[in-house]
Amino acid sequence: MSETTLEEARDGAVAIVGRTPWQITRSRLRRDHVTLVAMGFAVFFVLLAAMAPLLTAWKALDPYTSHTNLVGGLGSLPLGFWGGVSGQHWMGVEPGTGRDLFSRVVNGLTVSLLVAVCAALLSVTLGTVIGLISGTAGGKIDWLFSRVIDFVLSFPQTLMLIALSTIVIDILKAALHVERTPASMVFMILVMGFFGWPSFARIIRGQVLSLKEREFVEAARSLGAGRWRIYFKELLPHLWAPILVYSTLIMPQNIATEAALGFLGVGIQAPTPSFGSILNDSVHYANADPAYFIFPGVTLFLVVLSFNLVGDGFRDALDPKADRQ
Amino acid sequence: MFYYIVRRLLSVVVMLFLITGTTYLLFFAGPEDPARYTCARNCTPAILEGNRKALGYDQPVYVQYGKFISGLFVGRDFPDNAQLRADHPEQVVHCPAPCLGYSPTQNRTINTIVASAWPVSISIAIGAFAIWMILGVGGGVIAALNRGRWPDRIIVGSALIGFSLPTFFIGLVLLTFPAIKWGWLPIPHYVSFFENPFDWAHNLVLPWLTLACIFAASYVRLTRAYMIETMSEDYIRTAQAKGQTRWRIILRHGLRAALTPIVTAAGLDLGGLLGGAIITESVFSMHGLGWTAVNSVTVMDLPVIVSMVLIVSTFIVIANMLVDIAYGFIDPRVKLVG
Amino acid sequence: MKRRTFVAGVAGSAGLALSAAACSSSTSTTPGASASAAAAVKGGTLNILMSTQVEHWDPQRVYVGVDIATGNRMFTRTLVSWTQTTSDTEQAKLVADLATDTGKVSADGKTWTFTLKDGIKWQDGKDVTAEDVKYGISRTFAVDVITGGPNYAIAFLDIPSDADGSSSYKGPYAKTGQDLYDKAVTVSGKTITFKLKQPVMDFNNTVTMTAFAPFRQDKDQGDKSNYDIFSNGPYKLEGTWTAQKGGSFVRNDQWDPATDTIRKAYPDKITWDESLTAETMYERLIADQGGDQFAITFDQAPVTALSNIESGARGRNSIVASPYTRYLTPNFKSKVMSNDKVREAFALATDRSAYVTAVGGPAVAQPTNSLINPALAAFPNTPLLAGDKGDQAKAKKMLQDAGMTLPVKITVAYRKSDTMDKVFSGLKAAWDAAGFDTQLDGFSAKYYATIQSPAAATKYDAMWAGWGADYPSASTVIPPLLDSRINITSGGSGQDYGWFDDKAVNARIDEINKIADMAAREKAWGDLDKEIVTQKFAVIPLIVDKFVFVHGSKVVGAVVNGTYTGYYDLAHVSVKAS
Repeated sequence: MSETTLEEARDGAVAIVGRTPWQITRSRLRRDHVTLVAMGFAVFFVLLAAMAPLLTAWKALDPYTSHTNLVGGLGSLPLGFWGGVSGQHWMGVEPGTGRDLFSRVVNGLTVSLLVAVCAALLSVTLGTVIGLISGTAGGKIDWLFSRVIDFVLSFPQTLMLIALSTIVIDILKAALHVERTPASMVFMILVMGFFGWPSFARIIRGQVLSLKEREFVEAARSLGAGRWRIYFKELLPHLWAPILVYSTLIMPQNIATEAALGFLGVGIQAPTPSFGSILNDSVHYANADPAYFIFPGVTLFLVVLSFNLVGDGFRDALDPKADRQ
Repeated sequence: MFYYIVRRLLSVVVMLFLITGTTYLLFFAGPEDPARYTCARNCTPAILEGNRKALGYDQPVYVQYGKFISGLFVGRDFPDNAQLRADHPEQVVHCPAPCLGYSPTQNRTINTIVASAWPVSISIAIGAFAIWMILGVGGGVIAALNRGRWPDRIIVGSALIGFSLPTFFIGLVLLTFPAIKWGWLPIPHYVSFFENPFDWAHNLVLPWLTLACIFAASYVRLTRAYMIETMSEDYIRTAQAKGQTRWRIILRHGLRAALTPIVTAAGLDLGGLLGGAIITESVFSMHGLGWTAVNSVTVMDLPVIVSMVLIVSTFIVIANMLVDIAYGFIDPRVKLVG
Repeated sequence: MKRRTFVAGVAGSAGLALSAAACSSSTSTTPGASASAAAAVKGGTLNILMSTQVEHWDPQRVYVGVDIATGNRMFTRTLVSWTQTTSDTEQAKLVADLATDTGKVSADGKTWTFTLKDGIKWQDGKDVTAEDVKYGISRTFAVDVITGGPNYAIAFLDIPSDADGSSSYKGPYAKTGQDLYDKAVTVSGKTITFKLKQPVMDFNNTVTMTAFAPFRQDKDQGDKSNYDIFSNGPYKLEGTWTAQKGGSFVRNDQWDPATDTIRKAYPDKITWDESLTAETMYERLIADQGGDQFAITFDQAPVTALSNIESGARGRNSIVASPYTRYLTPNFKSKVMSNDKVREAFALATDRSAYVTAVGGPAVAQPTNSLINPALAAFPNTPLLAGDKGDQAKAKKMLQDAGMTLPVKITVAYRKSDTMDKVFSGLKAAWDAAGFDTQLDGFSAKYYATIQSPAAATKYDAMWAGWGADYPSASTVIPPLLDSRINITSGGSGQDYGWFDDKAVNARIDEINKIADMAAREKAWGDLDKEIVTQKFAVIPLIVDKFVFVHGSKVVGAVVNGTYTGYYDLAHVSVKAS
């Protein structure tokens, strides 16, 4: 949380006149310890998620092997302290199978982050392109896109995600000749990405509308630059701030949506773990095996929180209000 | 103003047509035979054919869509079979306008399903709305006024925590501990407000808190940001210079200006919620529209799914319109051009 | 008999598959069933809590075990019914209910006669007549309206079939072939006579199903009657039944206890709430607060609740063998599974211990290698091919010897829940170790409708399923699941999900049906089961469940009939005065 007071910001702004926006942002971020720590966490989670398939291939992580000797009693709960926490099983084991919970959470993170990142990329790309076109072209095209945005935003996103899942996942499976897991992932990416772009397109459109009147665009236009050149060479470089902020802020939303979908029964095919499927199971163990409930829950919370903090930090650091005053 | 409203109403109608049309296409024009979903374990070709006819799935999608739309205005009969109506009128279900359809799995018209589910969703939405607006806007104002000091840090910090916890997680924790384990609150089940207002509220506390928690967190952030922005505007300085009291400035000038975007967001959020809070209702088994929607997806009760999409979309579209109109009243700077 | 499963979206971790152990029927941990029965008092309200939803209350459409068991005890009396007893040995016993005796059969086993008792009335005071019984059974023939119920009437009654295999009688609405039905079912005064196509020596067991219950013609509204309850039993519906919510039942003053030796009808009122999730419901039952002290459920505990039941509901729980068997059917239309050796290797590699652990441990599940449930006399107790864990190394060798290129790619379908995800993850690991490359496909929406559709024949190599006998006879297990003639049509595989089509087996089924002696007949079913499992590898039995139930502390006489229904018998349940 960058909690510089108004006065500080003013003073700072006076002192840093003449620096590039990137320098300003960097110096602001450097003073923002909370964001830095959160960024550390976020990078850690991303690296962990990226490494998980390798670690699994090297057998350092094993999310699939059952250890039926580690569970027992009526209900096959983990034996031992706190859900079976040990040197080998850092978060204990899963009830019913004895699979290593840490390995499952880390592999689940990979799936969830992959879905979240791809969906975010899809919405940001769509949103940027459509916002750019809509804002620059104006007139009928702008009107049409605005109506399309209204239209898409009128659909209930969560309901459409669960309602379409049964039908669309089967279609994707047949069309792409893949198993249920990749088909579910593609489905979630497509639908989350599709419902994510309109609000971002609105932001971009607003930015473009204000940039359009600026001198450098006028200059480019009078020099005879084509429409596409203006879009991508002149306007796009000025839009990286909202793109960055929005991408960071939509990530935690996507992660949470993936988990919520798992909770509602739409998710990745077992045995592949995802946050959604792990939490869907573990929430019902809140009473019987609290460790199984708490470890994945807290991990999800930390992931979402760190991305939220990073997004907030970026937004504050890139605040256009304080931009080169 | 009048023309603006008329035009907005027209666009709402067009939008709803588009939404229902798209939904119909998505669900009924897919490669999967929709009659298949009405058939249980002992499915024979005869049953399949019977259901297909009874529900009109044997006709092209546009005919089905036309019947759905006409049902909204003049009502429908299920099964829509003149022969059966003549021979066995007692077997035909009449669904009066505005007919949303008939659920083959529940043997009820969707109108009756919605009629029993809607009060639940409204109760949840309104109570949660009241709580989150008070907590969210109040917290946001306090945080903004104490910017950088400890109340700000505490409020912003807890809002961020609330914002980062998934709804179903909060809901299940609230259900498991205060209700089931410690017995402080009843395990929620819906009691009509008109039957017993106290029980109504008592049972709804947990769903309200769950929803309010999520929304309050984002309203704290929203309010705080707008308050900080407006409080640094020049006219606030002018008011200060004129020697107005602090609270008068905050309420009359600061909050009023910050209110416009908050009202927009609140209107849209409430609109979406009136169509059912899917996760909260599922967690607490409150049989509102959201729960009904999830349940009908689980059993692939297509007519109900389509109706639910239509209902929620209607709320969103109407909320959008009302918010736009309300803009004109709250913010004198906005002009509605007809 | 069918099993109902969770439909609520969140009910993920399902007790769908709590599984079973011993053959002994009831190992109730309720303190002395007979002692508590002695304390039974009339009055009070019994609350039924449910997490699964009733699909039909129309007697001719009911086919779910719980609904048969409860409907029969509350409002749908049948000609003959199973006894109410708290003793383990008498649970399969039949007693006359609407009829004066348990039925008279002709020497050739093709004619059955029942005579109705005097003084049995509908809830509006009119007599229940033999014509009502005849009308009720006729409704089963209206297959396009009265869907979902068992089709024993169509299979057994002596009515010819059309060329397409459907009955020439089209039910009471269309009336086509009414004369054929009137010949097969004749009524004379209070006596009703059934003429059958073939000898059915246990037809009086068949008529315990509510599909053979009376129905009043003037109350028949076809599909609209699905949730209408018109009682001739001790309770009648108060107001209306609401799907996904439930309803409540009050005393039916037209019911005369003198005509009824089965139903004690202790509580004054019974409420039924089907809007709960399994997890919440069991948390409530364990917590035992307020009205939940007077509560009972017919949905077994989810695996997540088991450990808490052990500690928190001592003396209030019952662990009883369920009448169901969970099994896999290899798909005979699949290229790999049509190879006998591949099926054998697949069966050999199956790790049932993973299944048992995932559903809650050996206390609630036991591996089995018979399709017939241990509760039936026909149970052949076929030994497992290679112990609980299977033999993956041997299976791999078998695949290699059969000339298969490893890994053998297969797709296995199962009904999704959190627990079943764990079960099949374990099974997959074992199959993969034996040289298969298993793709899992778990889904819950319309599971059975999907796996029996023609499209499934090319999609899946093996499918999970579950089945329990309709009444204690293996003739309600082997033919309904494996007789290709009654299952396979252009519309799909029926309940023969693996498209198993074996002329020798079909012929053997016909032979066994003709065996008059019950013990010899049941033994023959058991032998056929063993042959199908160990030689044809057409079915891979997995486990037998145990149901775990909990009831409130003020419920008395909650005893399960483990042979006939597998559920608490409402006939002798009462509640303590609060």
